[in-house]
Amino acid sequence: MTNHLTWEILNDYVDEVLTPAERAAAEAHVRECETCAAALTELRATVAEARALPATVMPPDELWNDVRATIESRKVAHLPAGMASARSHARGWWMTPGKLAAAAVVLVAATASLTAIAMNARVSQTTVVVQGTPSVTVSASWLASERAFQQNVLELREQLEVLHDHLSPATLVKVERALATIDLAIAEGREALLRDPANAALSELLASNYRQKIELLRRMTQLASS
Amino acid sequence: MRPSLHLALFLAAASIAAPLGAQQKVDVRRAVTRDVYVRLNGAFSSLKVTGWQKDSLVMTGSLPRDSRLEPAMGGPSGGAPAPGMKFYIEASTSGAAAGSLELFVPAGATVWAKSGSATIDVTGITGGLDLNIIGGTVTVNGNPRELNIESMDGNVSVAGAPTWMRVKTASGDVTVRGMCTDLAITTVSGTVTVRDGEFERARLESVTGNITFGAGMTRAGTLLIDSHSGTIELQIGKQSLDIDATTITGSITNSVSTRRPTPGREGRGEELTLSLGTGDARATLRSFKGNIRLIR
Repeated sequence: MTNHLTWEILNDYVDEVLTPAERAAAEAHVRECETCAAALTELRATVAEARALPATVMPPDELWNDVRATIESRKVAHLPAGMASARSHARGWWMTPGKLAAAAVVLVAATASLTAIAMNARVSQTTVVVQGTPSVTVSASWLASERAFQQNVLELREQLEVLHDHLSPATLVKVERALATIDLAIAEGREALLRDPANAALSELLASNYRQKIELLRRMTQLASS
Repeated sequence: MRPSLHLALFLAAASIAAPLGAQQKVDVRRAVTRDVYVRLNGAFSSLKVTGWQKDSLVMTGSLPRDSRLEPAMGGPSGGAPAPGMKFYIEASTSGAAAGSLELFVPAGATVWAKSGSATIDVTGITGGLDLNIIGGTVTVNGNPRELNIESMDGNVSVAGAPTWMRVKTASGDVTVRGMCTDLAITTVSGTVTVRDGEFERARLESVTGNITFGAGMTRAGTLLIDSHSGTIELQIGKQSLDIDATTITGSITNSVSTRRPTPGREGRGEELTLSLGTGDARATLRSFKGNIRLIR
């Protein structure tokens, strides 16, 4: 079966806003199509998990103690490799429509990471060893946050890569141009932060550029999937 | 969860009249609730939305003959006002989005519209607006309660007093004139210009685009401007304001007081902290290598 249910129809089906005729057609299709049935199951599970999430998330009181303990246990941290080299060749892991909803979760995680970058500008420091250069000292939690950011970028990039046929070549050119602009700014900001790791303004500016990148990738992924 | 998915969708009294040349005429009329949710997605090149004081929806215009308009679906009929309507416009076989549509909805409606390259012009909506384009332009006049606009290289212009406003572009320029309680604008390389009116919370961010803020802040209001390499210009007027400006490598020009910026950390960039008047509001300006200008 090749004509699968669309993402819109699946969502409308889960939310019970289809017309009786559409619903009957969708149910008939799902009965015979394993792919769509699996997607539907996954989407329902995702929706159920999303509904179970609390409206607000407050960090537990003991979080800071945990962060401090983690920092103390890692006096030396190594800079993560450049983003380009971190790209994975794995493709298609999220191919079912239900996984698209996970993009929202990625964004939440990214936002948390970026908030952490901004908030941790003044916390304990750790030594970073960059091969061939003198050691510099930056916040260990900053490094952890940046790793989380890179992971989020990687996941959104993979999603966009799979969906890139849904965007026109002209749009893709615009996206890549904008991403290149942001990447250049991130590289400059990052280099400066390594020279002056306690600079709170620099940390905030870098976090702003990270946010821009995540946001742009999210928008393009949404655009391509609709 | 998309808001539209929580709406019951009712059948539209839609009709597509006989083809007129290479175009087909669109004429949709339907009784709707005053806070109707309208979703319009697909290939149109021009959309004009007008909020009016009637409990009905009217959509007129024309589409390429081989494009397809799927009007709102489902729900009971019988003339009950529809709380939600959904339209999907499938592109013509040429792929061109040449349709031109005019949509009249109750002023309190929430309108969600999405297209590729399009000109969207909205007037008189007091409900919500969520507009998403790649290229083209978006112009909003009026006082929507919530306004969200996303564009790649399309320019955005807003005049009015939305309560909550978010604008995101890649290279599109953004111009805002009016008032807003909660404003956030982010752009990669577009310019941002905010003039007139008064703002309570405003956050403006760019990577390379220039940012000009020439509006007032409410008492205890907060303004935050971040740019990597764009110029930040703060036109202060008679505003009572605490200002904290920092550049990493750029310069700061202060034309509003005698206070001079000091060298930044490690002798690079500049920093300036000053208080104007009684400092009722607070502005934080940060730029990596762009310049910051404070002028009257």
